Formats: sequence, C-alpha cells, structure tokens
Amino acid sequence: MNNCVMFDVEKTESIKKVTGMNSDRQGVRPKDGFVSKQSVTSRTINGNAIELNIITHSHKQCQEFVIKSPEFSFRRWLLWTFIIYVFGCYFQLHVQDISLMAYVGLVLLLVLLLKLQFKVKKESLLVMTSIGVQLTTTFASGRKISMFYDMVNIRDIVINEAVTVHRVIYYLAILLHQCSSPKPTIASLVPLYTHSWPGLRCLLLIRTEISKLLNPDSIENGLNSFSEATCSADKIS
Amino acid sequence: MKHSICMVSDFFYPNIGGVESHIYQLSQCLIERGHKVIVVTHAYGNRSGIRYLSNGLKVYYLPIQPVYNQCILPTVFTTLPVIRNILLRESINIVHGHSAFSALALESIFHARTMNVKAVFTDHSLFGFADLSSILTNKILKFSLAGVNHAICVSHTCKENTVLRGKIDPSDVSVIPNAVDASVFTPTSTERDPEKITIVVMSRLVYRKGADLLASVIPEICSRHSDVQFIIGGDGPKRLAIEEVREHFQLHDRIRLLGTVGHSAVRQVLVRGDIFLNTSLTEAFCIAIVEAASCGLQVVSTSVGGIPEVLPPDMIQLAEPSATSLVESLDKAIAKRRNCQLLSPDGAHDWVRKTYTWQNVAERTEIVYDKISAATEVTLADRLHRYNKCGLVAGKIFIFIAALNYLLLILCNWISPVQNIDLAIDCRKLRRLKTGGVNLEQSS
Repeated sequence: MNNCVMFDVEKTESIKKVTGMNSDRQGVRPKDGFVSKQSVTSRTINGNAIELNIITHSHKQCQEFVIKSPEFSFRRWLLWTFIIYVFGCYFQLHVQDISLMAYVGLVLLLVLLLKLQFKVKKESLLVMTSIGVQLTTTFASGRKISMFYDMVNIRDIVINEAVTVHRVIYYLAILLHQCSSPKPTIASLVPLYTHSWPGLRCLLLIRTEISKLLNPDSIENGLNSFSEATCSADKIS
Repeated sequence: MKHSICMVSDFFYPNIGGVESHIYQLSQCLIERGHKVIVVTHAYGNRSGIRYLSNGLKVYYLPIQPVYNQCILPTVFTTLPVIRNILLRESINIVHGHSAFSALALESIFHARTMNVKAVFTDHSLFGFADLSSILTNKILKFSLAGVNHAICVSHTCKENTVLRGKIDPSDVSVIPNAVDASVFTPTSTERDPEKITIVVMSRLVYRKGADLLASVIPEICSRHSDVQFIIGGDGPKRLAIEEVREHFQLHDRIRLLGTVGHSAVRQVLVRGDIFLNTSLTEAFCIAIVEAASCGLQVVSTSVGGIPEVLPPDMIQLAEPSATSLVESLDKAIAKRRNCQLLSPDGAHDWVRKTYTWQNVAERTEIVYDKISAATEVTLADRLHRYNKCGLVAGKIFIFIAALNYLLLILCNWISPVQNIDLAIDCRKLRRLKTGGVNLEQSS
C-alpha cells in the first residue's frame, strides 16, 4: 500500500510532499495520530512569493493552514549595507559631522527594531471541527497574537471580494452569527490573513480544505474543485 | 458573439429613475442573451463594495461618495487604478457609459479608451447651447465623444442635439429608443370614475417640466368643463403655484395633489385617469407618456424635443408649449372622450407592448457592440489628433490630459502588473455547475 499522504492538488506551482516520521515504512495508514504536512508555494495579491503549509493534525478533524512570508534575506541586507558603506567612505562621510552620522545611525536602528516588532513572519489558521477556529500571528521578534472563535458562533468560512481605493481583492473571512437569536443572521465578518494577503489560488486551496472539514457531506465539495480548475484555466495573457 | 460589458454610471439602484431603470433593464436583457454584464457605480450611503442583483448581475459600488447632484467629484486621474483593475479582472471588452451628467461614466470611458477597450456612450437628455453651464458641458462632451467608438441616443432629436453639441460624425451615432415594462403598466377600467373625466399629471413640479403652464391650464379647463377633475402626482418647488391656483379658483374638490408618488405606486395612479397631460418644456424621449399609453390613457403633450417621435397620432394630441394651445388640445381630447372616439385602452396597451420592449433595445444595442468589436484599433497618435480638433485652446489641454493619463497607465502597469491581478470568478459558470451538479456527481 503506498503512503497516500494527502489529496492531490492539481495545477499548483510546486508541491513538496513532506510527510511525517513514519513515511518511509510501507503499509502505514495516514490516519490516527499521524501528522502530515503539505507545502505549496504561492503568491500574495502583490505578486510576492509566500509558502502555504497545510498541516493535518488529525484526519477530518483538525487542520492548520500556515502562511509564511518570505524569510528576511540576510544576504541582500549585507549587500546593501556594504554598498552604502563604500559610498560613505568615498564621500568621506566619517570626517564630516559625526553627530549627524550618530543620529542617522540611531534612526536606522530604531527603524530596524520597529520592523522586527511589526513584521509578520507567519500567520496560521487552526481549524478544529466541533471546537473552533484559532488565528495566530507570529512577528519577527517572536511575539505572537492569537484569537479564538467558538464553533457555535461560526456560520461559515468564505471567500469574499472587497473594493479598496485602488483595486479589488479576494480575501478569506469567517462569518459569525449570534447562536442565541432564532434566525441565523450574520452578526459580523472577520477577515483572515490580513498581513500576508494570499492570492486567489491560495485562498481556493484553503477554502476547499476547510469546507471538507466543516461541511463534510456537502455536494459543494465536488464543485469547489471544479471551480478551482476553471479558475486556474483562465489566464490573463 | 458574446461580449463582456461594463455599464458605468453615477445613477443606479438604489436610486430610482429613468437612467437607472434603463441600465438595469438593458443589463438583464443582455444577460438573457448570453453576454456577461457588470455595473459600476459610486457608493450610496453605507452601500459600498460588491453586490449581486437578480440573474447574477454584479454591481461594483466603488467607495466614492457623491458630492453634487448624485455625481462624484470629477478628478480625472484618481479613478484610473480602480477602473483599470476592474476592467482587467473581469476581462471586459466593452465599456458602456450612461448619461452626460455622470462624471464617473465619462471618466470610465476615457480610461477605457486609454487602455484600448471599446467604449459606447448613451445620452439620455437634451442640452442647450447658450448659457455658460451649457457651453462648459458641451466642451466636456466633445472631449468624451472624441474618444468614444460609438454613441447611442434615445430619439432622432436627441441624435441631432448630440451631433451638434459634440461635433461627432452622425454615422457614429445610433438611435435606440427607451422601452417600458408593459407587464407592469396594464390598463384596467374598474379604477376609473365613470361620471367624471380624470386628467392625470405625473411629473416633478419644476420649471423644466412646465409646471407654470400647468398652473395656467388648470383653471381654464375647469371653467370650461364641469365634469373634469385633475390628479397631480409629484412634488417640487412649483407645487406652491398649483396650490395657489386651487385656493384662488376654489377648486379643492376638482384638484388632488398627491405629492411624491413612489415608483411602485405610479401605475395605480395612472389607471384612475382617462387623459394624461404632459407639459414639459424640453424632453429627449419622455418615458412617462409611454407608461401612460400602456395603461390605456389618451396623451396630451407639448410638442417639444423627441416627443413627436414617440407615439402614433391616434394615441397622442400634440400642442405648442403655450397655455392656449394646450387648452385647445385638451378640449379636443375631452370631446373625443365624450364621444367615445378614443382608441380602446387594451388596443393602446397592445401597441406599446409590441413596439417598446427591452428585448428589442437589447437586440439593437448588441448590433452596436458587434459593430464596434469588429472595428480596428485606434492608435494613441490618432486619439490625440482627435482631441486636438476639439478647439484651439481646449484641444491642447485635452491632449495634455490624455497623454498624462497614458503615462499614469504605464505607471499603474508597472506598480500592479497584469499577471498579479486575479481573474474574477464568473458566477454564471458556478451556477451552471450547480444546476448540472447531479450529473457531475454521477459522472465522477
């Protein structure tokens, strides 16, 4: 029996099947306490590359969708620092006003610290059927912010369109409703991945997986993969 | 050939009006013919974002608030990024702007032409030539029409007016009249008062719609005929004049002022009448008289603008825009009514139902779309030449604006490249998948 790790995702840019510990053994079934991870490279709405990791903690019950922003490129930073250093030496900045240089250095250090504090390293969405959904944002300094939504309040997780001042984007959102009220009206909408802003293909991937978790019996699951196929077939030349 | 059409205007649902219903009905009929249609308009209060109307009509409520007269502030360049994004993500190949009053429509057409997307403009109104506001508006219209591929007017008078104002080649202008939903405006004889002859007036009580003429006609008719009563729907600054007439001549039991009548209640008011009176001083098409004719009323109207082209002579009595002429025509209509010489309400309704249909308008508009899709592309140099012809000084200004827009477009292409723009999901495809969903399950 082959190690059928996960479903096959068609037409994505590159798929690295990274499986858990017991993968090289034959005859291992992927259910029951077998954590598997799948990695997909995709892009944001601005065209920057991001990595989507879909981690299955428990088959059909718990999945985590982690979007990682590209790593801080140390080499690029070093290259630019070197170039600016060479320019500084050429124009003999070090013999001119030293206090100004000290202030500039201080400002740059401050900017670096602020960037560390607010730059988002990864955002993750942990979906546990029958318990709830947790969003976690990890910053470059190691700081984490998380928010939990009870499954009772969650109506659905959908892809919505929004018109901003200069463009129209797709984003993933949780629809919350008041469970106490008799009619299931939608009380509020929580946008997800508000720092990474993944593109439509990535959102469709995440949404098909989530709908399999939240509505396992729905016919729409079959249709969603078709909609993804029609979407990826359209290309702007 | 199926097109992807973007209707743009400052006037759309939830506003109710002639242009609004024109856009909505035309879009619905084009969707039924298999085209893809979206609508772009500005925000109305809290209503901002993307909404879907019936049959999958997608409406983009851009987050721009109107400032004056239901229109946005005409900053030419700030709408470029968002319009470019919408046209690219929806793969639009024709932009259709409505109403010369709409700044958003004119700007979108301008941006569409900068992006080499075909553009059509529909004009719904007549303009003057003499006063300052008209001169400025006509200059702006020349600028818009210099870039547009084709123009549509709602009557031949409107076409003449547009060609003269915009200095556009008449072969680039088509006449496609408005239409009316005849299934809504049906006649019924039970609401009418058999003892009296009821004259219905349904218009805004403003100078342009001839409210002063109305105020002078009413007492004359009431003194000549004792069994005539008036029902006046609509409100406006001239309402006071009508009320004064009512007070002065003691006609309280013969004139009923209803105030503003909601769109859904118009038909109920119309079927109570025998005769419909329209006293407009200027009108490009006048859909109100078609609605009245569809309800089976005899129409008496001033012969201005495009009105003579609308109804056949046995359904309308035309008069000069003066009180005496109107009174004469009303006398004739009342006499015909007394002698039962009028066309039957059902006959009138049938005629309107067959002649003015939205399906016919959509068919004719489709011919325009096919024609411009087949036309060759115009280069930037040709466009700039055309703008230059708009005037000695104005031409140079227009060239500058067009060139700057082109440069801004290049900047937009660099900042937000075409490859990064996600294509919009077409909900028609999804709906077709869902309705055929059972078959898919079985086959997979």
